[in-house]
Amino acid sequence: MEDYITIFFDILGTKYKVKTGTFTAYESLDFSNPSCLMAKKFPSVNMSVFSDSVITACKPEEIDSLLQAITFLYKNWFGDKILVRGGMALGKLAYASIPELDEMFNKLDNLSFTRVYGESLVDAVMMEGRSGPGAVLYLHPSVKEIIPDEYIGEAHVDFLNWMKPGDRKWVIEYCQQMMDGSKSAEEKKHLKSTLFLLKKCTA
Amino acid sequence: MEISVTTKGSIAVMNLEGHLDTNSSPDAQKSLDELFDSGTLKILMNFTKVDFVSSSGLRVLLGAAKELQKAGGELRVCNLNEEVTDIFEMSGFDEILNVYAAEDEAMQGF
Repeated sequence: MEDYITIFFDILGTKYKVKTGTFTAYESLDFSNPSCLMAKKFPSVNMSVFSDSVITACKPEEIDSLLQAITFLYKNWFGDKILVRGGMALGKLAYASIPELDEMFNKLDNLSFTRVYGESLVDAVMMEGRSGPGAVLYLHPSVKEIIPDEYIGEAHVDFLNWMKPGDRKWVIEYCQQMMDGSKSAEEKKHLKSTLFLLKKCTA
Repeated sequence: MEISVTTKGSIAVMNLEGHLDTNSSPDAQKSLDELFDSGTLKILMNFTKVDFVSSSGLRVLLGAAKELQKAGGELRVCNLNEEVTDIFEMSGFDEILNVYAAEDEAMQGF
């Protein structure tokens, strides 16, 4: 097994939206499309999309490509008002394949799969689910050392500051708009936390 | 997003400014619908001041291109910045839409 930087992304509030009939195909498309574009642009960054989550992974030496991809993803998600929380970790990860069989299975229209597993995926999933509210990418201690300082937002759990100069203002404005229009207490909690965390960033 | 429309002969030139995303897509769609309703068949969208196009923004462009094509018209876009050009290339929109470097070039033969 090799070391990978692994990220688990998940849309916040999907259950509520599905139950209240407010989750649309557009949201699903606008969530997954940016990942497809980044998979095309950066062949060294793996993307596996399933339902309302994405697993992203690359070798540590591809960190620059990964950071560019993350910036693009979050810019798109906030632009389309989709709140996504992630967890990022560094550690062992494996993609299992049986080339002789997979060539056949990959041709099936009714099947899609990614056989991925490993410690870094477990850590990334835990970081996403257990770091608190907010549409940010939380960083596991294992990955912090290889991330440039300017990308690290400091909080109760450190998170990735993906914003480029010029992004901070509109992202905060959009979050505020969403909070003003939200009818979900859970979503408001995530937005309040997102605003708190993003305002800490000096991009 | 700021949107203004000027007419040059039978061509409607739509100038957009800002992000084309979930916030601005309804406004862009409304402007396009007004042009469709008025029977305009040639629309040029000038992206000089558009700094970003999200997935929902691309959807508006695709819808407009299809609508015009169905009616025998055409959508052209011009003056994409580097980031938007990149998005168009990655998504294949540079092949789906008629993209021009400058407005003058886009107007020729339209």
